[in-house]
Amino acid sequence: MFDMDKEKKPRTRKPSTTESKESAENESPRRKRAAPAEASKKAQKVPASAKAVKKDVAPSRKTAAKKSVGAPSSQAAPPKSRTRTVAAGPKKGTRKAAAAPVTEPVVEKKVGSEREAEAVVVHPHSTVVGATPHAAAVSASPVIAIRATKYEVTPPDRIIEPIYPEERVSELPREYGDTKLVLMVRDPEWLFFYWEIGKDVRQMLGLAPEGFIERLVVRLHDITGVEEFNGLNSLAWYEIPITGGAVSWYVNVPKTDCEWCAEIGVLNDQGEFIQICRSNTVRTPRNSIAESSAEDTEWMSVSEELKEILARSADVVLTGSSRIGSEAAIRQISRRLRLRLEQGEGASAPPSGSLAALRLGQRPGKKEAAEGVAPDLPLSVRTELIVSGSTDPSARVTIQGQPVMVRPDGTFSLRFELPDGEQVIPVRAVSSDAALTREVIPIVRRTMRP
Amino acid sequence: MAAEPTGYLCLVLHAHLPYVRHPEYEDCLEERWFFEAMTETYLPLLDVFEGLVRDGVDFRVTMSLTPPLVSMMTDALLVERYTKHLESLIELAHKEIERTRWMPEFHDTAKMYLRRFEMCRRLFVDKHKRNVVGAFKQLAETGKLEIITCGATHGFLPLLQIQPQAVRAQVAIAVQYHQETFGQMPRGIWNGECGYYPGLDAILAEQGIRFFFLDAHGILFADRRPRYGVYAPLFCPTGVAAFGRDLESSKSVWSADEGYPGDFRYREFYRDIGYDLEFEYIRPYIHESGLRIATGLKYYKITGNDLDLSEKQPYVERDALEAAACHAGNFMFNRQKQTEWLRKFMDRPPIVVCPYDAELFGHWWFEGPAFLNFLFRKIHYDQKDLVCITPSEYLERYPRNQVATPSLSSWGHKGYCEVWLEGSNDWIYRHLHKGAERMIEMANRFPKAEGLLLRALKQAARELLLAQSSDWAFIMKTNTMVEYARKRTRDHLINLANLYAMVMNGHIEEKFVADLEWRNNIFPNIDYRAYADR
Repeated sequence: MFDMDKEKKPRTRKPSTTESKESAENESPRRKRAAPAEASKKAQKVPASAKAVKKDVAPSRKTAAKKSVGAPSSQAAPPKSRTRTVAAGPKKGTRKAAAAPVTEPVVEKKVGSEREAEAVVVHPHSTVVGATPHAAAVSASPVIAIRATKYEVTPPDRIIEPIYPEERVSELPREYGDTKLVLMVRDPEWLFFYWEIGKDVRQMLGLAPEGFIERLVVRLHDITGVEEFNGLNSLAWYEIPITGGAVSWYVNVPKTDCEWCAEIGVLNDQGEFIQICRSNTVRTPRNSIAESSAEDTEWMSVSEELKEILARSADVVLTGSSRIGSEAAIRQISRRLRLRLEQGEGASAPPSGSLAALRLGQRPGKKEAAEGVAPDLPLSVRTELIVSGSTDPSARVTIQGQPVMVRPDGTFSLRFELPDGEQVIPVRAVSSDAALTREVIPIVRRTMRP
Repeated sequence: MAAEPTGYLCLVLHAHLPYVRHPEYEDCLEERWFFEAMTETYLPLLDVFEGLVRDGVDFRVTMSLTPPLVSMMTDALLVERYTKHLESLIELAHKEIERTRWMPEFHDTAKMYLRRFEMCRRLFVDKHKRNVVGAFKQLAETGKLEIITCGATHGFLPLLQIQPQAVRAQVAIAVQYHQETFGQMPRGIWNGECGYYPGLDAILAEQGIRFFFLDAHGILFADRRPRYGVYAPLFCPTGVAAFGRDLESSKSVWSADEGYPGDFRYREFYRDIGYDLEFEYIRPYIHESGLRIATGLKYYKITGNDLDLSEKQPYVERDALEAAACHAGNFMFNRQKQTEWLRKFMDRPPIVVCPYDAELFGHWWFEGPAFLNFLFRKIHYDQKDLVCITPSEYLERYPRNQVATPSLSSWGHKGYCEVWLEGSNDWIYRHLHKGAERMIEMANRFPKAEGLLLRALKQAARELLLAQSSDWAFIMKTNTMVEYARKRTRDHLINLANLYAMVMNGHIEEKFVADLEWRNNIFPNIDYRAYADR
């Protein structure tokens, strides 16, 4: 079952076609240990020589692509069956017995006898440990599935309910105990991914029960146009060692308008990749105007004009447009629009996206004094004048002829910004029956000496 | 059908605020976002539109009134608080008229504020009985205004797409809410931040949405060459129309350097009496803690580039209005020339789509509503080449359009998802996705909930939606009020986590649910089953 000439024949073993056959193979405790998820074995168990493995540790893009292209693509196992198989698990009824094979291989790996090393599934691409959430199946928790295996007291297909905490939480957890890898598109050239490795899988692999995992690796596969990605048939793949206790990662991808899928796993002592799980699939957008297609030729008559319309759409002034051909012009438009987007320039970037950020409650700082220039000490002085008094609560009061509100206790006050010069401020009170009038005329003068 | 004009102008105002409502506080700073936007943007725009209708000016404008904004506009507590806020502004304006009595350079501006605040009160309290949404609905019935919806809480859908159910719920709950509020299905949607990804259109189509908007590169980088550029919509393969933003006209309003709002005659945004005046005097009008904040009364003009705030000159309303009229004329002229030029290359009149944040007009660009007023009047009276149109009208006239799938895009900085997915905010997605996963799980597990379980599930859906507002990630990135945004994200997700545990354990505490219903009361009739698998 071990193929020494990996380059020519990436896999030697045909996948089993039936579940029962798999179960039969499961009789060997070795095998069971090696691949707790039968489906993963089915799809991806391809033992390789030590040589191939070594090569694989740091693949150049070229060889990776070459190898992958050569890989057969017909052996994908649907993700659903994988998860289910894990849930069904080994056919032993007790928790202890079922859990045992899960933990063993890693322990043995560490001991590392030759025989055992062979038994552990090793493949240039990946070895699946644990469940494999797939594209849309992120919500199907692989941990729950594994747990079901461990507590197998019910029929294999039934998932046992997890326990939910009774106590209220008041903080967000760092992780949720899932095993998953989630891929997101930031822009045509950057992807973002985050992951979690659940306790069960960590235990299975002999890793720390939580926190940083050493030799954690993400493999990013270009699966553009691949009908059903099975871990082997990508066009190219890139290996990203996860360092520094990161919990998420940005990765710059070399091509736009591509479909991507990633796998997360650890490198074992031999530098072999042990796959933990696979991500969802994403597609990066194109960042240029599409090539002209057959359909476009139907309105070829306007193709010369198209570049004008597109240039205006992109708010680009073509340079030498009268001389260059349509295709060159359209390439120029793509390039210029791309550049503008990258620089976050002009119209494409509103000053903000929402009122909240329209600098509400925020004031610009004072202008920083240029280096070497003595800082200025700001001083601004305003003067205000308060005119206040009291009268009968029913009286009507005017100040400079303007009515003023009299409070129920008969007091009134007004506040003025006091400019330079003299202010004559007649304050007049008239009784409610208009029989009595009183007037006081304060005169105030402000002068400022520089 | 009327004779074809040279071109069409489709003005789109995206009116949105995150749902900010804190019954637990007397004076919440963030609620002032809503109060300020009411006084400076929504009511002035309403005033402009009603004036146009009154004067028989034929105009068209498209507005997205987002569900959180509509919810705030119709919330009894916020309406009550806003009424008080408006009263206090009027009181302050009176005092300001006195204070500036001997300062002719400011006195007229003080009077202008009183006039404007009283206009708001007249419109809001007297005319529309504190029902702004009803007022917009009436305008929509005249056919001049087309109201469209937006994701239920302005979620940035490209980053939620990993769970199609979560995206569907954003759309479905918004559509349902729109129907409840306006009595009809929305024909169009503004996807939060103009965020689009291939596949979103299928969800929109399923919810009966006919059109949405995209930034220019979303159209230009479509999977087929767009034969009219952004000057005609594309049909996604699902039949939903995608209208692309015109960059030229955007720039003239948005751009910090070349845009109209930078004109020196316009009002300076930052210099506000909340910061400038003597403490005891201004105290009743700033935050109750004594924190100085903007009051909305500002007396200076932009004056010039690179000036310190202390060097600004007094604002003169007449000059500013003249600038607005002049800019409206310029905008119209440029669109005339633009469409005339485009018409030479196209076998149908181009449509120039100009989407803006509504809050730009009035709040940020104080004279913005006046600009729109001048613009619509000029278009109506002064020329015949350019005709205002809504997307629905356009699609009725031009039901045949090129089919192509637009590309992933947004109108944010750099055009994709980076604003909402970067160092300051990328941590939220792990939690948002998990929250959605749990919501989906609950919806699938309890397809026919009743009583307390139903209440808990509805509340869980509210908490998830509120956590998904793109505003929080945006604020984290812009680095202002960051703590508030983090807290909102955390709080809603923690509420959801606790509800989830209670629902799954079958021990739901009524008091806990009731408290959350009181705090986060958006979407009273929410259908949590929007999260169930189809």
